[in-house]
Amino acid sequence: MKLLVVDDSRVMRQIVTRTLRQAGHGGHDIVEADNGRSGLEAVAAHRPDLVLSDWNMPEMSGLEFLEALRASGDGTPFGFVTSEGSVTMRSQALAAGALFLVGKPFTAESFALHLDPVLGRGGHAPAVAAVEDRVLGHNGLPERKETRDLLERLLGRDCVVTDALGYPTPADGRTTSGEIVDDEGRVTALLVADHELVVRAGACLSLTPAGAAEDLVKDGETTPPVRAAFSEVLNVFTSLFNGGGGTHVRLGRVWFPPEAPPADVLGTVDGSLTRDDLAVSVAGYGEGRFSVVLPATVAASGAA
Amino acid sequence: MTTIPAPIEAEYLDSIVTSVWESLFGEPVVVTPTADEADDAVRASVDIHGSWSGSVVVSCAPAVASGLARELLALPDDADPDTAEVHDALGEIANIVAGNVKSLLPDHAELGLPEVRQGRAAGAPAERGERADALVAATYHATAGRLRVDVTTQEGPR
Repeated sequence: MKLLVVDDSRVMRQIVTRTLRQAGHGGHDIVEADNGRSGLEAVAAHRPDLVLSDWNMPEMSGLEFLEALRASGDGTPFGFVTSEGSVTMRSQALAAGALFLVGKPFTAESFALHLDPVLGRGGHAPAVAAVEDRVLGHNGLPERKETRDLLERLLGRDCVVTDALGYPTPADGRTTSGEIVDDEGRVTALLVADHELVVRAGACLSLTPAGAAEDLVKDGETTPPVRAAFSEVLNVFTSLFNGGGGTHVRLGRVWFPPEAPPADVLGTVDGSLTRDDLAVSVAGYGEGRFSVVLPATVAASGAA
Repeated sequence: MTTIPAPIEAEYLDSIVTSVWESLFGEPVVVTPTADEADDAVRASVDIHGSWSGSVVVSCAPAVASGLARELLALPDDADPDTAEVHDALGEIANIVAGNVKSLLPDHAELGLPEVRQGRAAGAPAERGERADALVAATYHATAGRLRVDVTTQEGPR
């Protein structure tokens, strides 16, 4: 396959190429461009299978590049690799048609997480069932081992995922909720996390020191980078539902306190017995609770 | 005298630099007592504009900058990177650190493009009639040598 790497820094283009190799994607042809304008020309000339672009570049930014591509009717898969990863930027990136945004500094693991679903593993084209069926159990919920492995790759720390006694209640003023939706906007799952997990996992991913995270837990507060990072945790977790040829889903709206999901969203999961209530522990940061709930109607139709 | 609050805490900067170094070079950095860089140091700065405006400046001796560029570009030990390559490498390090500093700010802000200069040449804050206050400054020791990172704010001419 052919990849186009766009960054005004030759050093960064080199690092991206090196990390692609470390992530198991060294077998692709790689073409380079140094800003959005030359990137546009390179897409037309080389027809890459995926564009990896920086955001902030002279002449034409990465966002302007993507918007120009989509405006011309070009649907080439596109992802951002950037030193900035605010909630606003991620929203702008996804709204403009990007598949993902990888923040710098990045690791081979974070590259693999985002690129494997697009490129397949080992540099070969994705197989029909690129993700093993056992990622989701028979009830449609992710296997706990898959959840733990994914969190460890994303956070770069050991994680433990076990049964939780009790679960966070959406709309109690302290929990964060996120909806997973299909391409028609129908809710296919609700993710609910308590304040402790939002802060501890969000702090870990955003490089906020553990001491500062505990202050936030104690004060019942969050910060913009913690919220942005936890949104990314939810976004990456959602990828566990994709693969195997099933319905494609994505992370929809995320509600941080004091916001809560509207009644119609809560209604879809109300009373559902198809749920997994987890205690998630992140090494160095601590524990929190996380629930995954499938709508009662989906659960009923999916029953074996 | 007006005290300008630092946009981030020193331990946050340490956390960012440590993580960036681990990712780029696969090794830790050691925080050392803050030291000034020599007049001929290479300085890469990235401006942040928004609710808080200032700069992240990464500086080191020319030989250290050359070593960093050689490693990032995977050049042989006996190859000397040219000036453009050295500036590119240090500029990108500053870009990544600044991006992560920006993400810790409470409100929306935007990042400028890296500017790299050697020595206290024209264009340094003092010559632009501005005052650069180092709100957070730290020095790190890596295999390639010593590196200083400053988070500064800039006030207009008095």
